[in-house]
Amino acid sequence: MNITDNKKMTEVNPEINNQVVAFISAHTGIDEIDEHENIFESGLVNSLFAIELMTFIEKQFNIKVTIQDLSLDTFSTISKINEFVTAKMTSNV
Amino acid sequence: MLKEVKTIGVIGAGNIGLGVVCDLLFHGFNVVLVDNSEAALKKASQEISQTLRFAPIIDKRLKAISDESEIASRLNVTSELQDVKDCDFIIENITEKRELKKALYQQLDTICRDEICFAANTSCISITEIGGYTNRPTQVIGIHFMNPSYLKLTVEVIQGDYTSEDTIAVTRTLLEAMNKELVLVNDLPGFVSNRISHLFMNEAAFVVQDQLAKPADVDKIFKECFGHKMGPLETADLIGLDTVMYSLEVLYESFQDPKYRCCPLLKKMVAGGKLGKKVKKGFYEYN
Repeated sequence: MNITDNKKMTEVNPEINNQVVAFISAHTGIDEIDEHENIFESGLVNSLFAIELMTFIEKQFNIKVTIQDLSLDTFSTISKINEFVTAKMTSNV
Repeated sequence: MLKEVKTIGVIGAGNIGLGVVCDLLFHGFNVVLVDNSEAALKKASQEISQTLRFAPIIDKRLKAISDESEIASRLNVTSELQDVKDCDFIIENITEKRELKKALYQQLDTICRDEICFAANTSCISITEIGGYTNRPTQVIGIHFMNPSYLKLTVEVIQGDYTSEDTIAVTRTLLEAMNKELVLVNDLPGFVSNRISHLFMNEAAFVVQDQLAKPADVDKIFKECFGHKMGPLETADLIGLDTVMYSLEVLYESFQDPKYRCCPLLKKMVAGGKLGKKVKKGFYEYN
């Protein structure tokens, strides 16, 4: 792990994690989700859920998901979603 | 025979109808979407917009449509059935009730041009029977779009007893433009797909009713042992438990075979408003 990664981890906003986990949990009925678990590959949700997830993220965090952002990998883990939301919110400031 | 299909009238803004609308828009067609529920139309506009923007994340072959003005110019969402009068092809996706379909097809017959074909995206009602609701039975065909249509590359097409070769040709051209392969089957209630799949879903409901297993475990067995993408109960939730119940009723009425009798648990859930994913509660609860 390099210094940049370390810095990223210290900047993780736990509230974003909580809200995203709550949304996914409500859909799946599973409360415990590892923040690094690939929610699509693990079978926790199917890929169709990505549309609901992106719609939720836009509304919940008041950000815009653009065509350039359309990569399933970006939304594949709680941790990556947090990074994406944090970056979008920062760029909106 | 109709030469060119540009604008499609889609009747019914339920789950399946919305997927079909998005599929058509992704593939360059213009759409007139009709539903008699203003609430359904409002929800439809939002969901279509989200799907047009976000579905390419699931299937890279789809090109995102995010320009609201483009959507507005190509999609007319309306509660007036009369607005399909200039459409080149009709796809009907309304509730699986004979009396509703009969009334609709009789109106479409008077509204649409004589050469226009009607495709019933019905779950179980015979295409020959639906053709009999109109004065153009040779131009009525079944297209069984699966949900969500825009992710499916194959579609079951049902040839009624009177469906003409021209109607099949127009339908084939339309589906090929939507990048779909068709499997042409003959006409009996439920066709191939639903005649079999509804037995799965109904029996899965019986299994839960008998407390043999919880819904998640039933589905897990189908997904992880049989390799199905979705289990029968989450599929039923996605389709809508009311739709599943109505389809079973049609199969039961049509064949008079007790294997199609609807599971009492399913009936109770529908009576109690547990209609599946669309109302956020069915065999599962959704946020």
